[in-house]
Amino acid sequence: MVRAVRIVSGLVLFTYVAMHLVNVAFGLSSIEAMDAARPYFMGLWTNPLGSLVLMAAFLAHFSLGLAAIYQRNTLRMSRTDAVQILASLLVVPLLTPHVVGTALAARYGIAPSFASLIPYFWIWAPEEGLRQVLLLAFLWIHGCVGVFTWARVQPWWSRAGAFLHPFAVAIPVLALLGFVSAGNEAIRALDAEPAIAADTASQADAYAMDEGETEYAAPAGEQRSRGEILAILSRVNWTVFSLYLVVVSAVLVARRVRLAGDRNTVRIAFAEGPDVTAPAGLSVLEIAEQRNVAIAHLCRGRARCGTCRVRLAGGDATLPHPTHEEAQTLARVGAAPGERLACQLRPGPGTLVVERVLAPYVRPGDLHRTHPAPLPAPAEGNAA
Amino acid sequence: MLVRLAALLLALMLHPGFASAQVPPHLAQGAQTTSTETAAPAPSANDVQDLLRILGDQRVVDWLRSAAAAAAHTTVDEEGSTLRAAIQHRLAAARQRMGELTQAWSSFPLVPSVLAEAWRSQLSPAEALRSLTYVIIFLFVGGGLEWLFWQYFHPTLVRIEHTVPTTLMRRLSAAGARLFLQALAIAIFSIGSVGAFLAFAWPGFLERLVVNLLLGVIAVRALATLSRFLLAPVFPALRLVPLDDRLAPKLHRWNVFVAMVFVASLLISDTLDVLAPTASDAAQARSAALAVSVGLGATTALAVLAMIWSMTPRIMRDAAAPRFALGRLEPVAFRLLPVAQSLVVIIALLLWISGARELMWTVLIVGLFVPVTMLSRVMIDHFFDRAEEAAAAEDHRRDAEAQAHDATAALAAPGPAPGVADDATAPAHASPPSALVTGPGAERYAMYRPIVRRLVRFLLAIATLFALAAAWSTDIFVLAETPTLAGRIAKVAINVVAVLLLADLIWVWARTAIDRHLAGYVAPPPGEAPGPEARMATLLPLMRNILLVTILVIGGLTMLSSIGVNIAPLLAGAGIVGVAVGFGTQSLVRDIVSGIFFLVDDAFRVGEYVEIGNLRGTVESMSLRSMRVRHHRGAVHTIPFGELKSLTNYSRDWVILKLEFRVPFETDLKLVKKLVKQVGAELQADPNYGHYFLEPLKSQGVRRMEEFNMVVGVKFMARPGAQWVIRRDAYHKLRDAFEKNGIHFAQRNVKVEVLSDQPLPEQVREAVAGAAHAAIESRARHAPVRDEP
Ligand code: FES
Repeated sequence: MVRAVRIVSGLVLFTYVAMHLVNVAFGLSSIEAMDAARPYFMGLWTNPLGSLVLMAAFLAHFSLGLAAIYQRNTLRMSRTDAVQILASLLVVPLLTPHVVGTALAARYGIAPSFASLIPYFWIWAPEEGLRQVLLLAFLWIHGCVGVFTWARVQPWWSRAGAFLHPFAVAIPVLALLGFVSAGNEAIRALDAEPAIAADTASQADAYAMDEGETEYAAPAGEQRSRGEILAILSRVNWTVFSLYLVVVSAVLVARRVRLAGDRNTVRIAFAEGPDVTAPAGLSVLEIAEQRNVAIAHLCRGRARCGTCRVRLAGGDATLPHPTHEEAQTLARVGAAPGERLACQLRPGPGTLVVERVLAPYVRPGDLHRTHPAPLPAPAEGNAA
Repeated sequence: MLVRLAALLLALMLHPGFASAQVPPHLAQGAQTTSTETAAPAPSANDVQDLLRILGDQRVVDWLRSAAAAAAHTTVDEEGSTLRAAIQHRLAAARQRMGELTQAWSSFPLVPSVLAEAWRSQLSPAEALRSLTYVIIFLFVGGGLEWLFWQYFHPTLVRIEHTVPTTLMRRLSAAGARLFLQALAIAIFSIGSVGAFLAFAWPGFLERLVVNLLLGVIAVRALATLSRFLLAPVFPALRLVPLDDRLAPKLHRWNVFVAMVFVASLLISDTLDVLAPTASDAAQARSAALAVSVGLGATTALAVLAMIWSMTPRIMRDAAAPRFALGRLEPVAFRLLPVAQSLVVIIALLLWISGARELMWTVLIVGLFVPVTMLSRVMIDHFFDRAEEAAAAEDHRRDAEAQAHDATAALAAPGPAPGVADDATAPAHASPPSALVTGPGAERYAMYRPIVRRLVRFLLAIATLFALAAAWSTDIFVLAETPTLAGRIAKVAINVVAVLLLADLIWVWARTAIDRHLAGYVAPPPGEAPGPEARMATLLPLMRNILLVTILVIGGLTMLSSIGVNIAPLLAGAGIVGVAVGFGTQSLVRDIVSGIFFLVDDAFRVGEYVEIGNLRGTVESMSLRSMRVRHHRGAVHTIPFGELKSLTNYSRDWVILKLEFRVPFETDLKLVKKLVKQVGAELQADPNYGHYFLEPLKSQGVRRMEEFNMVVGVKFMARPGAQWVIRRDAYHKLRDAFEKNGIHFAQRNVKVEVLSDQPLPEQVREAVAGAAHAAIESRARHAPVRDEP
């Protein structure tokens, strides 16, 4: 259930970002083209239903993410996981001004367009442009890691995967290049005709608080002075930002408290690798990763792929029973009795001998081709 | 850290702008003009024709002669004057540099304001922010492309990293493949980021700034990859240097850190150098830039020093200590090495600051040569140790497998498997490398180790030479072509060094091969006859000396001729002596050489029974020239090897002996067969010669019919040495067995039918029998019995 909500909300957000980026990519042609293409790409999301779905997806994804951080037993993680988590943590502060600006713009009836925003980002407030670029980078990285981790254990992946990878790169790259080329166009225009450009400057000043692209009709009679709006904007930004900090640190503190209880250690002997000692409560996969013992984990510990399964070959550690998800996956991949998912198995204190079932370098393709027959066994002599 | 220094050096070389920016312009110009003088373009064919035509003219020749005679006096002067001029140039440059440095020092407090002013004039804050945006975008583009690349190749990389290589070649190729993949990824990253950058047009300074930032990221990544290639911090199986799991990651981190500091300083000073001339007060800005770059250079040197002091003692203690058997000097060496390295770095820094670029390079290159040689040696040893271990383990495993196979076949139980497995793993780490030289695989490596060492040292020496030449911006080969004294010296030096190194290489190779053979020779226990190896053991040192003399003579002659001594008379004299001696010792030489070849063929060994022409006997001993064969009746033949045309050896591998019996026609052949089998079993059970049997005695049935009897064949196959004894006993036992079972050997009984009814008188009967006997005897003339021991 949690898994499903996470991936569905994530996919919704990802689709939104992707469409938005495709729209920005039109900047490679011209700023007008961007504005012309805009209704086709953004229309879906700017209607009330669309924004409601978007909002709900964001909230769900955000709270699930916090819950996941709370659930983590170790903060030492694989590079991919670290990148994903850090990116997601950075997204929120980068995103706040954008969303708040959008909301305020809607409230005070300003109809923004690329024509006014591009000069704003490139000429009048380059720090905002920088922020946008960073936001895009982090968002996209986070999204890609999540989506690909989910997708590559799906049955259709072996056929479609190779074609989807280029898109994952092409969309943000084209968007960024579109952004740069639109910016250059704006700068050229400024150099060519300073008078007209100054006009856009005042215009842009008027839009200073706005980085959204929504096009609500202006509620009448709510015009306020620019300074006032800017003040509201920065106040709201700071409030959201400090709230966010409080929430994240609260989660981290709660996690500390939760972990403070158990201080036992577990000794794990990997069949072709070292013996390691680690605090109890970590999953076998996490322990393996910390000690550079390679175990395949195509779904990055989401209990979806079954590639991380290990054979238990002895030891006296207490082992929790498989959760529903783990049992399901084990059954699906046809695991032998005595095999468990390393990513789910959190051994209690004691010792444990485990043995990899699959080579650490299985590809997603191997997953479905040989299913349900056993996957290629680890090559001999795979000592760490 | 040696690696690190090398990388630093490389990076410096790749970035000539860094150092050359500091060289006073006229000095650089001087260097350039000399190089254009030496490297003139080749003349066209027409010009040469013209020249030849003109030279054919006697008047021109005369004029040239007189002119040359006049010029001869002046050239010496000129050489002296150019040298003096060069020294003056250098001194002036140094003086100017000092002036610049003092100015930079005095303007040091102004640095921030001056540079900030210049910066602002070139770049508004908005533009600065924008350039940051650009850089992030381009890095994102490059990173995206690289990610795409890894999506397809990451599993390959993981496969490489997690497969433990078993041989040296595989280890090297795995490390190489890993480097290749990572380098490819960086290349794609660079293409992506720089390509995206090139797709847009940029104003001047911004372009330089963005390019520098991108280049910085790429350079640091490239250096880090290089360090990862050598150190493999996480994967000991791919590590190319003998460091353990603790030191390698540490050293890698230091490398990356120093690379970052270095690249950052390089790029910052480059940017400032571009920025300085555009400032309103260019002179001041320039000296400010100089001050900053000196400061950055010092920072880099500090970083390197920090690395040296943090890593070198540890590495010496942990990794290198067992390899340098320095005895009591060891602690001193430990303490001195970091000091020496620091000195090199500090001197290089000072030279760089004072603008003496060539000297700096010289110090760095010479300072690097010793540690790099040491490192290469340690690396080669490391490689070969690992490879030998792997090969020994492999050999052992194969043996163990064969054993296990036998054992399981015999016992039909999986009992021995664990014990075998233990055996197989034990020697891999328990025994020292020398004890590991057991199997053919391990031996192969022992042979090449010294050669590879020499070769690498050879290459390093050449590389150092060229690096030095490049530092002084001279081309050695071009210099060697010039007729000046220096040119001649260079030419002779090149020839001599090349000859020495080549001779050394050949000598080491031959010596290793010979020594290895000799080391394999074990003297036989007293009382036992030595094998053919004994003769090899006497011959090989001789051959080694001959080879040494040959190499020395050839090398010496080559060197003499390259110095300019005419060696033709020497050669002719040596040739005459050689011919005279050769005629005198012709047959001796033939004996020795053919002896060597018989040995190589392994035609006979001491103790074997051989036949040469009509001489037969046991080989008793061999000398350099001849062999001694003792006939079984005591006579001794001495046969020079040169006389041997062909040689029959009766003591090799196996012999088959066939025995024959004559039995009467009425004999029960089945019974014979059974009896033979019985006797065969008995013989095989004999403690003295039973183990010589390869195939037991067995009956071959009737071989032929004769007038009065059948001939039953019996044969056996045995190892050489006991066949005569076995034959004796076989006859003996067969006769007894036949006798016991009522089979009598056929005897020649002549029946003479006398066509007369009267009884013959005794005398007549005897006479008839005698006549018949004689008649039969005369018909069946037996071949003479072979004389066998
Ligand atoms: S990592 Fe995929 S199931 Fe454990």
